[in-house]
Amino acid sequence: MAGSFIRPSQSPPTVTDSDAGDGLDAGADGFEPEVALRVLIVEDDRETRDWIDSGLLEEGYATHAVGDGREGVALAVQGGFDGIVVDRKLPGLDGISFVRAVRSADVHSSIIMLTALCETHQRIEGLDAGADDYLGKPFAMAELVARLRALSRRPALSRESASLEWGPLALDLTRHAATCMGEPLDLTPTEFRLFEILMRHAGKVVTRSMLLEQVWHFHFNLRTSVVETHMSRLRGKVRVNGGESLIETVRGYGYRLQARSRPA
Amino acid sequence: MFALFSVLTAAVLWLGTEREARLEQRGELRADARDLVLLSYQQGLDALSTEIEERIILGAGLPRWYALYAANGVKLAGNLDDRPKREGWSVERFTPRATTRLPTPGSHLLTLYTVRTVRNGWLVVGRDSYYIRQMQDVAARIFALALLLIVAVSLVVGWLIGRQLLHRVGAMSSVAARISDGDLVQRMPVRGGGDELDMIALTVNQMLDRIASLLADVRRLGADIAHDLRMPLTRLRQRLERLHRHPATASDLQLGAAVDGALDEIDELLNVFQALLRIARVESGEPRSGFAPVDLAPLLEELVDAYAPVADAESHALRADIQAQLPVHGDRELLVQVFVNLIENAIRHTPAGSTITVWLAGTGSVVRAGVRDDGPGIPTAAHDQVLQPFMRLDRSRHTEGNGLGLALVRSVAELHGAALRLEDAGPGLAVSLEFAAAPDATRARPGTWPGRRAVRPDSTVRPCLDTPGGAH
Repeated sequence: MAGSFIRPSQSPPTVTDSDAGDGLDAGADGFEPEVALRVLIVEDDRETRDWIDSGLLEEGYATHAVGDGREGVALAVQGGFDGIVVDRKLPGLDGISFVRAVRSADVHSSIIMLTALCETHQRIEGLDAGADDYLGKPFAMAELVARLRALSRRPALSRESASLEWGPLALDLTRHAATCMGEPLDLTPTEFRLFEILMRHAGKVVTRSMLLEQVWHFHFNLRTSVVETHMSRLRGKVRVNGGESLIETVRGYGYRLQARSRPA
Repeated sequence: MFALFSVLTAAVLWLGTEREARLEQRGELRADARDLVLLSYQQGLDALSTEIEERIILGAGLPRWYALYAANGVKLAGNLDDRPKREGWSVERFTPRATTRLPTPGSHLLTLYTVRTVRNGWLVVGRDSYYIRQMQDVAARIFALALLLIVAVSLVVGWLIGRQLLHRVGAMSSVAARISDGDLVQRMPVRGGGDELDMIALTVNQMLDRIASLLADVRRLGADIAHDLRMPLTRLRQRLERLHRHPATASDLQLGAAVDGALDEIDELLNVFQALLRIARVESGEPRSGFAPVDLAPLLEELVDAYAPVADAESHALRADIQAQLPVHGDRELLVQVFVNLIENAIRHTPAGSTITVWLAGTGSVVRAGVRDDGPGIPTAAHDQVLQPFMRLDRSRHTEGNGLGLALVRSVAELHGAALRLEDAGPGLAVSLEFAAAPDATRARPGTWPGRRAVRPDSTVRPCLDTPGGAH
């Protein structure tokens, strides 16, 4: 999938030793290049497994794909994987048991569970077992990538920190203040929350469905108009000197905070 | 059954009477023997002999049998012949010698009681069992006759009843066979007697009515679904086919656009399926098991906040008119979906400048919530229609949406036992749901304004995607 059609207007990703990030990153300004992230794929359907594999490879990940749950556990437990993508229904060992086994072996890799089962209690079951995210099939590769990246650990921006900075933007959760170049931003509560999520994943793409889930708790993405209208207002507010917004709409993916606005 | 018990009763009675008679006779024999033995001790064997002879001669009607033997075995008196060998009871057949009085004596079955007298004599006292046997015969005959009668009658009656039952059950069976062959018009015959078979028949008929109506729904729905899904699939096919026809000349851009379009169509189809699946799940009643108190006030306020900019973008005014905390018992996710659908419908189907109000009101036992607008509304005649899946009014045929929004609203309302009403808001459409208030107001879930970290499980997290998101 993910051919040359659905791409942001940037150059295709290049995988080098120093910068194994993908075209989704905000460029080299302002942050360190990452080492290739290792992802374990556990999916029994061959076509899906190959699709995910190739999709992640294109995004610069180092992948290892298996089709059996037990094999997957053995590999996961060895450690070394930044992320694990596991299907809920597997031969040999089902997805939930896989997650429990991996977590009880004290493995801290991010785990995204894939499934065709999308009801609330099933999602909660998956998350309770220890998965970090739960994605329904079919999904866009961009969605999986964005969520994998959102889960990866970046020491610079701790998930639980109460104070965040990114370029000219600053967010202080204890005082509930968002500023740009020191000037306070006038945000509605919803916009504040959106801003916070973008800041926590600064430089990475946050998809519409991620925002729908985390801000409004909507799990049906038909309501993208909600995200779009709120984001469009937020974008209007987050700009430097009336220039372009620091929030970039990454067409086909979602939104992302840039380090600085592009030259007009 | 009845016959069997009758037989048993008869047998018991018969045995009982026989036993009684026998016991009585023995008692009599014993008493008689005792008297005679006493006489022998008081007045001697000779006196006893005389007494015995007297009794024999004087015995009329039912003969008595006696025999008196001396210790050395000589017979002293009596009309019995056998020399007794031991004391106690015995039953013997005895034929007396022919006499002038009785030239051809018949044989008798005697019950004999043998005792020792004074000076070691032997006394045998006997009675004929004839009388008892006679009585037994009569009794047996009576019982047998009665039994026969009872058995015959019960068999006949049973057969008659059974035949009728069989007939009715047979009728029901043949109706059932015809129904399972597909003839849904058939109904079980009801006799009107109010008995168990009738109750079964009535219940089955009710069931059949419901099945027939459901099947009619499904058939129509199936036709609607097939029809509505053909459109996007057809369009999809056309796009891909055009690509197929001109691969060489298509530019990258055209290819890109074509694939984008194809993906759009597929997404739309997946949305429809997802909506259908959701409706089916609601209709099955499954979510009821997860019901919990849900406070509608914060839920609706959040929705209004979320949709205000969306409405604004289309020049609508979206307002909330919300009373105090009013919890209902239900599924939060489904209720959110209901109001999302209603709000989106209102935004989509009213012209710019319309006002849309989301309201919540209630008394102690009733909670009412709804969405009303001041747009063109829906003609009253079409109110029922629009709740059908895929039903879309002509004028909105080409707007966004898949025609399943209100169908889901109706299913969810039904699941919650809430009354759904479509009314003319003069002008405009007012859709409302009326719930029974949840029993315990204080246990309602607090409003879920966005928490800090929503991916970790808390009861309102739903990070699952239904369909590919954000592709376009």
